[in-house]
Amino acid sequence: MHDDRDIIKAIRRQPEQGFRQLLQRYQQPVYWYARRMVVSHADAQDVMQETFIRVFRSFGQYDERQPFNAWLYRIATNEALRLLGKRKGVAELSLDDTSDDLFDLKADEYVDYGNVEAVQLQKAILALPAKQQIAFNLRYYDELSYEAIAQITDSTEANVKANYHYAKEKIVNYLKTND
Amino acid sequence: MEKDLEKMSKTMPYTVPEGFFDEMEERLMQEVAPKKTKSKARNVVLWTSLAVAASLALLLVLRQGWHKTDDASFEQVEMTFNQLSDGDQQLMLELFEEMDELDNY
Repeated sequence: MHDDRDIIKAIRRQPEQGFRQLLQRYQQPVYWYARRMVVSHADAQDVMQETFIRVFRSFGQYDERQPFNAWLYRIATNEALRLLGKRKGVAELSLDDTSDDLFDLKADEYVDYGNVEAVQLQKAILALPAKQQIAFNLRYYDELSYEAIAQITDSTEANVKANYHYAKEKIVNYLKTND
Repeated sequence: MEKDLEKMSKTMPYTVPEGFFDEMEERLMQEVAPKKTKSKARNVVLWTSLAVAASLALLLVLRQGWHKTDDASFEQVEMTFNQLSDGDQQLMLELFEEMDELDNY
């Protein structure tokens, strides 16, 4: 698996070859990150596609002083919020949004409802406000640092820690009451 | 509290169609790669159009003084004409005939 520095170098030297390396490294993490937010397979596919096309086209704007994964996840986050915002009829969803109808485990062909524990956990996550969902998902599933999550969400490390803490508390309460 | 979540599996209930990621990788590669092909194709069209336009201009200029044209300039026209595609040559001949007909009125 290529590391971020190799990918950046490759994209600068031979964009197409570098882009393939980028896809091999990040296609699945970005898809699953998007999927946890937008739920449906088709929407996650759209978010992933838009994210990588945007990354490829705006690669010249990437500032190497910031971690590459934070830049990439920030684009993916914006694309997911844009898609969810479209549903609500706004340009982009706010990180504070908690609309129940947006974050819901809808009927989807590609959801295994037989995995009860996993379904319950996703329902608990989807019941959180966007900023807590994002902090929780990036820390719990993607195992990113608080610093990287702060860069992705344009926040502070302290804020991210607080959001992660609240998220965990709410998830555990949800699981207890919906057991 | 932390322990409860840690005990839980990180497995998600979500699935994807078989071969989805391989297919997406290829689709995304095509999404960024064809730009080059398209611009190459556009360049070919552009250069062909420019060649036709230049040839037309040359023929029009020469045609004004057709009777004064010497052998050297006629050779140049012939060389330019031969470099055109069959379709463009046909187009040039048709235009030339139309112009001749107009002159005869």
